Amino acid sequence: MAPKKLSQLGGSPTNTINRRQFLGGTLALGAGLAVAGLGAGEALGVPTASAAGTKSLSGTLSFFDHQSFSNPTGKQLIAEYEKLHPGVHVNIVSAPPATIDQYVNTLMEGGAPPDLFVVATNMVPWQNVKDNWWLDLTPYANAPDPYVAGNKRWTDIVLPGVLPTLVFRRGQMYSLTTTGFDVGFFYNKAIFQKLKLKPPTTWAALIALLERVKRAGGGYIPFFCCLGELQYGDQTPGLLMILEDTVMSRTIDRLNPSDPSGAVSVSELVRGIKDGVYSAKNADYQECWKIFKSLAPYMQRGAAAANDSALGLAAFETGKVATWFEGSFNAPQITKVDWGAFVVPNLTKATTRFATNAPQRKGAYGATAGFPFVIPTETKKKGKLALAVDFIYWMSAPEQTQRYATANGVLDLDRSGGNSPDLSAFVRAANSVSRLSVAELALPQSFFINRAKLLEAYVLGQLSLSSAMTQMQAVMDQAAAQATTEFGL
Amino acid sequence: MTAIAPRATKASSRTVLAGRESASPVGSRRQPARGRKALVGYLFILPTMAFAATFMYFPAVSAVWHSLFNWTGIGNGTFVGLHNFVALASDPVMRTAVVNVLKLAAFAMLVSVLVPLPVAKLITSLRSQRAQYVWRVLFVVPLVLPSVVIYLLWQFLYDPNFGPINRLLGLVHLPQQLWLGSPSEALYAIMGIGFPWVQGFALLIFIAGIQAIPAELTDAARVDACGPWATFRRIELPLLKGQLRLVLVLNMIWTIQDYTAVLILTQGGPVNSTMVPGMYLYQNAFDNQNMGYASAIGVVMFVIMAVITFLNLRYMRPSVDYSRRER
Repeated sequence: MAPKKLSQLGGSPTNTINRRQFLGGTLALGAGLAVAGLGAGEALGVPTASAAGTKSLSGTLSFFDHQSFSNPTGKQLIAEYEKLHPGVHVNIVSAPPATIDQYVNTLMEGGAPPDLFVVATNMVPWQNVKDNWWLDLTPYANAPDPYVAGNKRWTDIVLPGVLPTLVFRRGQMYSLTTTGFDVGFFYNKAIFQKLKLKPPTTWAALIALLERVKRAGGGYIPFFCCLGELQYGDQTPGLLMILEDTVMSRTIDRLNPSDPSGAVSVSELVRGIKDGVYSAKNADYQECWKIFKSLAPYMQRGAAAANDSALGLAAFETGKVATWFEGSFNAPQITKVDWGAFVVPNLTKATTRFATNAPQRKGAYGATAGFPFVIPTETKKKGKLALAVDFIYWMSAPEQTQRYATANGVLDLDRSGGNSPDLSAFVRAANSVSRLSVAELALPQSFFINRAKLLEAYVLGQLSLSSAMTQMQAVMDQAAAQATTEFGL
Repeated sequence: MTAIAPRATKASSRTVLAGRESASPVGSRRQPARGRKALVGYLFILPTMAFAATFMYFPAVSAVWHSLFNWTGIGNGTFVGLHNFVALASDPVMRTAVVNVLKLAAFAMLVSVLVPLPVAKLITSLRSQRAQYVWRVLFVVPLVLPSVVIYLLWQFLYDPNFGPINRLLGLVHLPQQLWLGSPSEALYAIMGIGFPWVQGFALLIFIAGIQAIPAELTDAARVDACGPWATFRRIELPLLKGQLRLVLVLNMIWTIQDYTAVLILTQGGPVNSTMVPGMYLYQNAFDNQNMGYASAIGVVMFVIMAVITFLNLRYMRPSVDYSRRER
């Protein structure tokens, strides 16, 4: 049957249509386009309101949870999600009692990985970007989360200062998370009260405070830090990254970050290393190390022997440590000491000629660590992408995020603010991460580890500044070369 | 005097053989039957050999192969020939690691003999069998503790701020040390772990060795007015050479391979002062994702251990054996 002409659709024989017909046609066209759009969205793998948040999802979602769902809250969350989607079963893939990163590599190399992963840090997907193991989740970050009422983009859920810590290379996001951690100073309220001290707001005030604690005697340790922490992502080197943001502000501007937040990408950092803009030979870089070392006279005896936060926790719990620089995840474990926390104090001209009046960032990690979700590219081939993304969306809702964060000792980094007030300093830090942090964390792990070793040697007096900087420059150059190859820069 | 059997001649041999062949049809099936038995035996050990080949020999061969590659552990890597070994030869961290492990091995070999051997002698000198048993058990019980537990305990003992050792030093007005926190002290602190170094394993080997010495030898020495020290030095010690060699070789191999204490306590620091090849291998493999270089370290460690073991076995043969009887 031949299609009718427009004039034959009940309109006038003069090829015009009346208003009712026009409106009807427009509505029909609009409905058709909407349906086509939904279908296209599904084809692209972008979950839409028709699939997500409804009971139409089904299947088994195999999930490597990095042991973060093995606690009662995690199990409860899984049960609730399965109840919400009766056709869905979440199958937890357990982590072995060994190096989890190696296990993840083995799963991926084997070619049959679980559909969804929780990993320790964003470095996990970044370091294997050339292997095409992990899915670029940027489209889903820009799509609405159906489980958050009124949400237009998933990125609107997280604190704005956290977003740069999820971005890699050319603006891609290989992980999505609403949790994280950061570093700051725990302090012993009893010691502060006894010595009539207040949390410092400037670095000079911090040094003066530590000096007072030292002079007070009584077996007090003014400043405890795990100088022997040499693993990728350890907390003590985070202090250096925070100092860099302020002291190297002009250098950061010269690196010409394209991100609106001012955060430097790994490609910009690598270019900066190659061009000598970011260099261990530069005075501002060396200044950061000197400021770090100014804490050495106040550190505990044998600071290099402390190579794990558990040792710091044990020391803090003796009640003899006035301040302790560590990660927020230690907070739930402090039971014997009445504690508070403050962020890294501001640097002023009294401390360094590089200080400016610009806002100073206080964090080093944000959402780079703290159980980010990542999805293997295999998941899309298996047709499980919608299910995996839906689970992430559901977990990103404030109710789920708060419970998950509390159960696992990480920070809730969504805008609803579900953290205990005690953690406000760490949340502030996570929401204002150093502009160099993410790029430095994205470099090959050897950069972070070797820098930590050189910093330890310099602080202990085993290396002069010039020797340390010579070796640090070699570390930078090697990391830049390796990153260029591995990330295809 | 035994009767001497007549020497068989070729002719008689052939006759015997021919007789055997013609007299017994079973003889003609004896060779194939022996072959079948051998085949069955091989089939029985085949599963074990397959597992050994897969999980022991293949990884070793793979490590040697991958030491010739720039390899992250994923994919195939890039062939670089002997580049990893050349880099290793000029790597200052590896040099430090080798020196450290040789110091640790020398110390371990020394204390594995100097302490357990006299203790074994003392235990075997006890008249009461029950007392011997009790002391033996007391010294061996620590073997059942996981080594990680022991290292964590020593980490607490060595704590520069709150550890009992420094507290004790403070009480007697001696200077407190940094122990694991000092580049100059950390390696010796690791050597000190296990004080007083009565290794249960070495103790048992020496006890067994001493008990295996024929009593008539020590009795004869006593009759000849040999004192205890002379008896020990001239009779018992030479007869314990086999046990000494075993304990020395095992301790050397264990010390060169082992890096558990370093991994838990110092991770090679402070400032690489406790770095050992095993730890450096681990760091390169899993922290730096440099599996090719780590494999090269493994190959070098294997060669060093093989050479030392060969020299040890070659030059530590027991020179005296009183157990042979003349015919």
